[in-house]
Amino acid sequence: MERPPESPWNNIDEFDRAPRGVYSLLFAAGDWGNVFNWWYLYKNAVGDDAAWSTPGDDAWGWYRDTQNNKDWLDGMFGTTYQAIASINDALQFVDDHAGQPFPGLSDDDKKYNLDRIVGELYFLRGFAYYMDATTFMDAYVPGGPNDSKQIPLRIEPSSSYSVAANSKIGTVQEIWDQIISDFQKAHELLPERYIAGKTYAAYQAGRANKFAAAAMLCRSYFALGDYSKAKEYASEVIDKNGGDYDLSEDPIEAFNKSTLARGKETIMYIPCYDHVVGRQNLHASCFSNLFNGAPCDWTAIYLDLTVVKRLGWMTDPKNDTTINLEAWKDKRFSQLMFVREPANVPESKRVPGRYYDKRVNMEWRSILCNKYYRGADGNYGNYTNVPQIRLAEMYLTRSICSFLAGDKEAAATDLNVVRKRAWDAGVAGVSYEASSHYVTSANITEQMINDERLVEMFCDGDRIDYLRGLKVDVPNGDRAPGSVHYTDKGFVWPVPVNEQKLNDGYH
Amino acid sequence: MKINFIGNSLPMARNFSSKAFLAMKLTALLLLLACLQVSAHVDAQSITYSQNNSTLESVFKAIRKQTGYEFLYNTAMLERAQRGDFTFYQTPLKTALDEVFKDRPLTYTIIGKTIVIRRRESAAALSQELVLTKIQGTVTDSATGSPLVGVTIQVKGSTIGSTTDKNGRYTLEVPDNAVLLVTYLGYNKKEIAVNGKTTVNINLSSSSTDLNQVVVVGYGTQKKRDVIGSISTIKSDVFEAPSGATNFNSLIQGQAAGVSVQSSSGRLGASVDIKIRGLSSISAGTSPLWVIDGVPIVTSTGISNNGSAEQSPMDLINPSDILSIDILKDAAATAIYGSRGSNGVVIVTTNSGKAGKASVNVSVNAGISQLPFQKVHFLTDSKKWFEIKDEAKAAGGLGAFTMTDYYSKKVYATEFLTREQAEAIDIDWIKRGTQQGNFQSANLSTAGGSEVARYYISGMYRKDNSVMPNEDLKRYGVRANVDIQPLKSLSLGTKLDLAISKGNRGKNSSGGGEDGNKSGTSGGFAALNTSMLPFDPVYSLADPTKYYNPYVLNPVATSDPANLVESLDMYRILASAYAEYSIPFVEGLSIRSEFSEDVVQANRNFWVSAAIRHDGSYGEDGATTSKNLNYNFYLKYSKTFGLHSLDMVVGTESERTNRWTRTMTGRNLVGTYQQLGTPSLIDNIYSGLSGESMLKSYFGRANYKYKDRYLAGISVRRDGSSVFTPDYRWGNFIALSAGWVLSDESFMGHFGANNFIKIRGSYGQTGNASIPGHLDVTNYSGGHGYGSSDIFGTDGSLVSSIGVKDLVWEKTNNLDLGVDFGFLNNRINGSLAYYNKYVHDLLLQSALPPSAGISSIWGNIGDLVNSGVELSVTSYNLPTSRAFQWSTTLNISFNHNEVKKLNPQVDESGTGMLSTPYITKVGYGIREYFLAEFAGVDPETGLGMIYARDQDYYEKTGETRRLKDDKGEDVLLVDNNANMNTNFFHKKGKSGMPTYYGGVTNRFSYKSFELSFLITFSGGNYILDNVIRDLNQPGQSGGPMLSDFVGNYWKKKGDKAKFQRLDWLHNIVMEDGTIIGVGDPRVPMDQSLYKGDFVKLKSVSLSYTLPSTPSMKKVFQNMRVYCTVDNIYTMTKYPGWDPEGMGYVTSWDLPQLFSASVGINIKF
Repeated sequence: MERPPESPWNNIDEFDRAPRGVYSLLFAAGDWGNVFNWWYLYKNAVGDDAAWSTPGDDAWGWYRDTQNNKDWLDGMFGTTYQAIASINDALQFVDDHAGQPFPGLSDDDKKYNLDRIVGELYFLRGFAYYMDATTFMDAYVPGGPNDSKQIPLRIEPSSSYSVAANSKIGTVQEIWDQIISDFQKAHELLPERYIAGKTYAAYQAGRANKFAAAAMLCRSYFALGDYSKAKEYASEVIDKNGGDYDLSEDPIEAFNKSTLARGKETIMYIPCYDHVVGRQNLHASCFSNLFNGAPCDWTAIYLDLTVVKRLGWMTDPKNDTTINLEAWKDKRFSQLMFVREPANVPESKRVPGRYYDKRVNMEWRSILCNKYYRGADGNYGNYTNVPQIRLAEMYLTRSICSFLAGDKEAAATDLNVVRKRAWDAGVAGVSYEASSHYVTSANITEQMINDERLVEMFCDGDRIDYLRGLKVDVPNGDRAPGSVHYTDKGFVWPVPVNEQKLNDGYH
Repeated sequence: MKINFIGNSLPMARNFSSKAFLAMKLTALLLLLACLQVSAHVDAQSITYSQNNSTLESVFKAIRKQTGYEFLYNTAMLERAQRGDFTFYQTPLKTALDEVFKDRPLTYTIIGKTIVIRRRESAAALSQELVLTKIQGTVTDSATGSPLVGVTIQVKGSTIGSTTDKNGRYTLEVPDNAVLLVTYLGYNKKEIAVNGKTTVNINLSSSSTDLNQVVVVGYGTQKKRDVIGSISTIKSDVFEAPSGATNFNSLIQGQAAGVSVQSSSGRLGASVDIKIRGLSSISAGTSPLWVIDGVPIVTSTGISNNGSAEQSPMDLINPSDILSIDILKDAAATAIYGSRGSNGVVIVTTNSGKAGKASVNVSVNAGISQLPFQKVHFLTDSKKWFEIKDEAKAAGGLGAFTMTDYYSKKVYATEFLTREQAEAIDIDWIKRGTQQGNFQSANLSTAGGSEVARYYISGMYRKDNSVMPNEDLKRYGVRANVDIQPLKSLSLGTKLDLAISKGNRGKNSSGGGEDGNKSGTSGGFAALNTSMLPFDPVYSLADPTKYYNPYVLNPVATSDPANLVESLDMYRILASAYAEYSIPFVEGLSIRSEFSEDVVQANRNFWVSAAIRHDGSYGEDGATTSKNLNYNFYLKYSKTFGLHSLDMVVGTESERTNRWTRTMTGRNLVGTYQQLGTPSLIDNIYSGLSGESMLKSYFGRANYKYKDRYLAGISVRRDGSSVFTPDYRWGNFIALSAGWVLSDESFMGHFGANNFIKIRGSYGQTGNASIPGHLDVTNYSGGHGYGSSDIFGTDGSLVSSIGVKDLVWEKTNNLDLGVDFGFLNNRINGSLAYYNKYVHDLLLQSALPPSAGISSIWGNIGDLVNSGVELSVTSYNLPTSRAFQWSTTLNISFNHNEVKKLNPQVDESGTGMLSTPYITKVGYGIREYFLAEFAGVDPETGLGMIYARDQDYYEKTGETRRLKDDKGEDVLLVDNNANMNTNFFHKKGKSGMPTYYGGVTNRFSYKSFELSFLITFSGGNYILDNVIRDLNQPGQSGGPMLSDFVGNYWKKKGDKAKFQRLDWLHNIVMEDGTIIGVGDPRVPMDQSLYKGDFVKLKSVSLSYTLPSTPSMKKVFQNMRVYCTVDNIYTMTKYPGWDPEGMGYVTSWDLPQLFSASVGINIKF
């Protein structure tokens, strides 16, 4: 042979390709194929904070019609497991070499590169399973058996057809145990931050570090209803980040970055500004205002009118288009949301500069998410980085955990940090602390924390996971009155038919 | 001139009339003189024969075979002759003849190479006289016009005869009303009535049935009579007439039994799917091995044009260079090719020069092409289209359909029509987006040489313009075949073929309407069919100098050369050299060595401008260099020992194939010529070696023949292939064969004398190593970047396949039983064969569950059998003496395939292996469908229904059957996504594979006119067409509708409709207000499953050869004009464009085209 086959990784620099391939697969497939965005699109759709502009269009799951197959979810399932397969192979490669695949590494290379790469691999496997667990698995019931077999649990590479076609099917408990285990290993191995000259250069582009692992541990424990552990890891991110992250910047700062720069609160992000390797997901236009920089006329998700009313942003949303001052005081409204005007406004009455819906059924104002395609960086302005984990979420998680533990003061303190960052004193005419929004241990309620999180995380794919983690009923929102239990099957998408057919583990 | 004649006992053919007989007697004087003249030569011939109770005919046959002397006699006369015991060993011919006729009432006379038998008493009857007339003429090859040297022209029923000289000329003195019998090795026998003419020029057409015809086999040749393998031969005349076909191998369709040739695309140069005796594998290669002049060739460039069919490098072979194609089908024929033989072998032989006067051949052709007459009918009435959409949307309580709805997902639309504007436009996009194609070609060749050196040199040019705008193909080629014999014992030669093609390929994608044509592939035939609406204008209504919505999907804009370049240039060097040395001191032994290389370079350039791509210009540059290097060395030994003949080959072969691939993609190209510019953004750069494999082989073959009628053969091959791991690398392949020329047996009597029957059989093993290399190691793909290209090293790797270390050869045990026949003096001839190909250790890319992380994995998973019967018959339907001639050639093949075994690891439960939409299950054919079963539209609700599967029964038995309710009736379910996906049925016997196919060729000739037409057929297969399914679901998209849908969907209660009621974005609002969500309805269902049977009038060709006159002869030897019409009519029930080559259809490409062409061929 002129070119006999060789290992894809002959040195530590090349080994960095192993996690990079998985990052690319999960987060940066680009165009219509970005499974990470499919994942949070479905999450956005099923939450109670989302109303729906396109009646009858069940492609996105807003009807929680999990009996119907969704091609994109099949794609997400396959892609996450493709990532898992690659990670399993890379981890096996390290194991096959007794943990030292590249003998002679310097201590720095061992710590900042080999350990870091292995840590990233664990992180990414945990993340892939987290995506699948929150999409295809029953909600975890604290104290419950959680023993129904649900999705494949693969932690070793397949070496033959029989292994590849017959996997262990993990129970709810086993899958979450695996997720926690992976994030914990990642947490142990990952560095706190990129260090120029020591860490491989590509690592600086939004990739996971110790705090990202801690944040995912926080999310995972929250999903299990272990609020104590969730709070512990939230605290680590908030209090021990060495000054890397804080909420000192306006909310928009996390969403308008088109270079390697990140918002101060951003713990992990997908670098999307580069057309070559970091391409924005076009599906984001289904729940966000802009599509390649222009208002998108098929955006389906808007802020649920019950929520709008509860927040006091509008008084009578379907009948009165007035946006109250309450909304304008919130920078998240003014910076990260967009008002879409009704379709039935006559041309003569239309205000220049505003966007009027093209769907005749949309006869009321709707408030859209406006977090994507926000950059102002010349050619790449339409392609902004996508934050995956932000510090505000950690504050809000710690706040609710404190609240549930009875520590209302701590809960109020954390809530105030988030609220204050969003407070527009110029519009309100009063400082946050002096306003009625300032929360104390005396007046804080669970609803306040939940609503604050709803606004902060609107269209970040958080709401359904949050409510299921909180173990509370999930309101139906605009769909119908009432609510359903957090274990409702309407939030559990079926494992793809092909998987069930072809994986002997299911038979 | 007065001549005395023999009496009425002159030898004659049995069917010869007595009147003619009397008119054609010879003089005794002539006989005596002739006898004296040849006696010296006769003495040099010797005979070996041993047979007790032998008929005279058997002796004559043996003499004919051993000496080449022909016999002329009255059969009835011989029937009365007694049998005898004859034993000759190297006995001089004359001595043997004297012995044979000793004490018999018969005697003989030798004239030239003919032995005339007559009664003894008639020798004295020399009383009659007859006047003879001198005639002359030239005998030429009907195809090439070349003079034929050594042709025997004989007065039928007499011994008057002559042969043609080096210029093909003859002279002869014949009686009045004589009929000339013209025979020549390798050509069809011909009878011509003289009718008082003095110049009789004769055209002979080459025969594919002549038993002395030479057939090319692996590493050698054999006489057809001696072949005991299954081999079909196609002669050059198939490739001579002008044709719209851009690939010569498509012309094989219908010409050879057991060979399925299907063209699913009308794209210029598109590849042709050829299968020999069924599908011998599921995942490994199924295409035959192609060998041109001993060179295994490259058959694919590996370059696809993201949307349009690949241009096959086979189109760089000039059909005019082809002398013959021999298709090797059974193990006896293919085992010599070992691991490459399971799918059959196609051996192409190109023309060589012949000693003699040089000839020059010029042919010029031209033609037109257009879409076939059978068309798909779309709704082209815009108003009607809107009415249906109104109905669909209103059913959802959402009011009328608006242009906003229409443009809702066309975010890159720049111009928005009002409904009024739209309804005023009715465009037939199929017509608007296509044009009349045309082609021109010219060929020039010259051949000639001496005994020492011979040459054949040719040049070709062909230009095709497609029916799709901005698609064309230009080809140029030269070939030089040179053979030199510097020494009597040494032959050297080289064959060199250089060919270039340059073309524009165009696109074929219905996508891109939503994303601003980001991939740049929008447009082409698929877009015309499945995206364009009758109200989509070509040009802007506001500014007719501009295109209407060029980013959204405008096939005219995307085929404008100012906006798109999709060019592919190919360069081919096919070179070989050989040397053969006859070892002087061992008679019959020679050594031969061949060295060859086939190199195909393909360069693709794809550029799309910012005018039709919203996100700026985009370019791709790709190139592949595919090489096939081959070397062999072998010994040949051929010897006759008395009644025994032996023919042997022993040798070794080495082969190396590889392909180097380079690709670059970038955006926003900047430069003087933007297509060639520097990209502002580089998307991808790749360069690497792919598909490298090596083969080392040792092979041998021995054919033994006894008494010229008992045949036996053995082939052995040992192959080592790099695609397998060392433990499984080597494979041995052996085949045994035997044949018996039954008609030569004495007990066949006079039947055997006038007919030919050969029974043959073979059994052997071949292999299939057509799998990618490196399957034993886990493979990774690159190009998965993350981060930013301004940071060094962003590329990532992912697992792309799992290594499997225990793969072994897929081996095919091949049984072949056949009979070759020629009845009525070969007027009806052909062969009938039965075959059984049992494939062991089937290599299959088994589908894996998605959680495996890769979609499939290779494994040896079971066994498969293909069995079938194939018949080929050629019949000369009218007596050959008539001026009007008619021959018919039929071939038909039936193939049955069945999965015999699946390993438990891939089918533990016995339900079969599923790979949508197919099921692979023991006891059934491959590619049988596994689909939801449509149960019709419920007249009450208007909902489409499917049959429910009995799930318990399925779980228990693995068999699918319909679920019955308490009353024993079928349970029906609404055809929503979830129901369909969980209620698939095994459509037993309904497979994507044809079960029969063949062709019928009729040829008529009258004087200088020849007319032929070819009908091809294929069937037994089913086509699952997702395109038609989607076109019949107008609620799912804003796409076009088929006319068939318009009047046939459910509208009101009680309607017995073909299609279900309209829906709006997957939801159906029922009369009571409830909403039924059907989910994504794009699930495989048998509502769009169609029979794939077709009968096609494939081609009609008419030719006229100008009568030769002395004045013309001064300019050229022969001139022939042709006209041909291809793909004239297809009978089928499939509602798409063309069922040929279709199986599971997910997108439509250009179908095979109708074409009409004319051509002229001049021989100088």
